[in-house]
Order: sequence, then structure tokens, then C-alpha cells
Amino acid sequence: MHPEHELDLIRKSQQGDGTAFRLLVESHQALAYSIAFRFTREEQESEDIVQEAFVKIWKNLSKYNTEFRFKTWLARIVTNQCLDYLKSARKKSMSKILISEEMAISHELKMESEELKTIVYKLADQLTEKQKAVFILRDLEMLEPEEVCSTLQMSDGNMKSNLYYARLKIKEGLRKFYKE
Amino acid sequence: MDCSDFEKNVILYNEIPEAQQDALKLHLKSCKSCERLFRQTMQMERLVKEVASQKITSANTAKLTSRIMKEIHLQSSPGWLDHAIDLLQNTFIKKALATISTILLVTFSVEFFNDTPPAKYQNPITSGFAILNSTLFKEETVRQRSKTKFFTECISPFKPQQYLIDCAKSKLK
Repeated sequence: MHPEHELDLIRKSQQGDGTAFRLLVESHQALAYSIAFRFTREEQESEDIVQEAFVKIWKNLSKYNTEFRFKTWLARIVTNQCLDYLKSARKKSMSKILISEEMAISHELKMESEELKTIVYKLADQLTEKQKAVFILRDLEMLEPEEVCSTLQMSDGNMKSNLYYARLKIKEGLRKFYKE
Repeated sequence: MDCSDFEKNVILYNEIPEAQQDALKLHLKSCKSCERLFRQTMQMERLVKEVASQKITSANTAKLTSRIMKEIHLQSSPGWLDHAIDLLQNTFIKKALATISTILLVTFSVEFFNDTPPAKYQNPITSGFAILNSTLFKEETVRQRSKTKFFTECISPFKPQQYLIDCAKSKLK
């Protein structure tokens, strides 16, 4: 969506125009759902998070800072809600998802994409919250470094540091499956 | 810079400035272990990119959109309290309520200052508010007027007070 058109829709939404807000929802819903699903990997949970995020945005439209892109604002709200969800989910079950050696042995050089996805997500589950958030936004959602910093409200150095450890852990995890 | 410094740049290859990337490339030409690490990292990156390229979409996007909009509409629609506040802000309602309040205030004030004896000590016919029948009311009025007229002859501003007393006494006799 063109930034000017986006801003126009935001202004209309601020005045209570539901149709304009619906257009915003339609154009950004995919990103919100994608981020939420990569964090939670649960359809229902992801939909709830997306819904809550948009309701929150609707209520706080008057506070929207035009310096930031709507996409960044949405990503921030969704990420925060996902992190809250992960906190509560971790409290419920403290058992860590560990990749068994058996799984590693069974894998060939070229992994099936579905299996690969499962492994990457399971490895991401073992990262710290910040590392996971940076990894998902930068490497999976492919947001620009500045957008990641803005979304997670962290400095460039902090973002790079978290990304470094996240990639290192993912790389080490994948090495178990990847035979040279 | 030694290999440990380059190792970090290998992992963050696409995050570092171009100058650092060039320096790394130069180092890789001469360092086999770093070159191996770089190759491994790029392979892992490809795998992660493969996962990233798999687009995630909701099973029913339209349904989710309408669910969101429904929730927003629900949260935006005013409750009974908002309706009540809106109603009170209406000028006509304000005036009507003010009129009712004034009427009630006057009624209660009149009632409070009314020193008429209670109904049980009054003649039911003479107590003004008890006369509901118009004929009875008329008769009572005529009787009151004749009573007043009875003493009218005795009242005179040019006669002394004693005359009024004597006249009233003689009339009553």
C-alpha cells in the first residue's frame, strides 16, 4: 500500500470511518497473522492475537505517530502480544522442546520443507524471547534492520547481538541435521 | 583482526557494512577455517530462507477480517450508560426535567407552608379542597359572601372602633 494512501486511511479511521479501517485491516492482516503464527504456531491463538492487536490499534488510533509506518506499529503490538502469550504459555508448561537424536539420524541431506520448518521453529523455541523475536522479524519476516529495532524498541547493537546468538543457536541446531 | 572477530561477521554477514564485508571476503581467501564456517553459515541461511519463503496465511482471511470488524463495532457501540448520558445532554429533555423539578419544588413548598388544619377538624363542605361537587361549591361561596355582607354595614372608616363592636353585637342579637 502506498504510504500516502495508508496515511489517508489512518486519518479517516481516526475520525471513526469503519470502512477505511477495514481496508487497513485487509492490507495488513497477513503480516500480523504471519508474525503471530511464527511465534505461537497455533491457528486459533494467532487469530486471537491478530484480533486483539487490531482492536488495540482502533482504540489507540489517536495516539498514532506518523513518523513510524503503520506496519511497524502493528508488528510491535503483535510481537508484544506474542511475547506475553509465550510468557503465559511457558508458565503453563516449563518443559523445553528438545530435538531428539533419533530425529537427527533419520534425516537425509535434503530435508523436506515441512520437516525443515518444524525443526527451525523448534530450534527457535529454545531461544530467549528477545532472540526469538529478532530472529522471527529479521530472518523469517524479513523486516529491515531499522524496522526490527523500531518494532522491538531496541538499539541497533542490541538487535545485532540478539540476532548473532539466535543465528548461532539455529545454525548449531541445524548442523545436527545437515551433513556436509 | 583475528579469526574470532571475523567469525562474528560471518554470522552477521548481511548486517555489516560493505567495507567490513570486503574485509571478510579478503580474509576468507587466506583462512580455510573461516572459509569453511562461511560456507556452512550460508547453507544454514539458505535453509532458514526456505522456511521464511513459505508464506503463512490464515485459513479464512475474510472470516478473520469480519471477526475483527465485528469486535471493533461491538467495542465502539455505546452501552446503556452512554445512551443515558446522551439523553441527558438533549436540550428538550433538560428543559422538561427542569420544569418537572420546579413544579415538584413548588408543590412541596406549598404543602410545607400550608397551615390549614387537618381534614378531620374541618367541615367537609367548607374545606375548599374537599368540595368536589360544583353545586356544593357554588352554595358555599354564596353563603360566605352573605356572611361578609352581613357585617359590611358596620364597617366604616368614618366611625369609631366602638361603633363597629356595638353594631356587630346588635346584628348578632
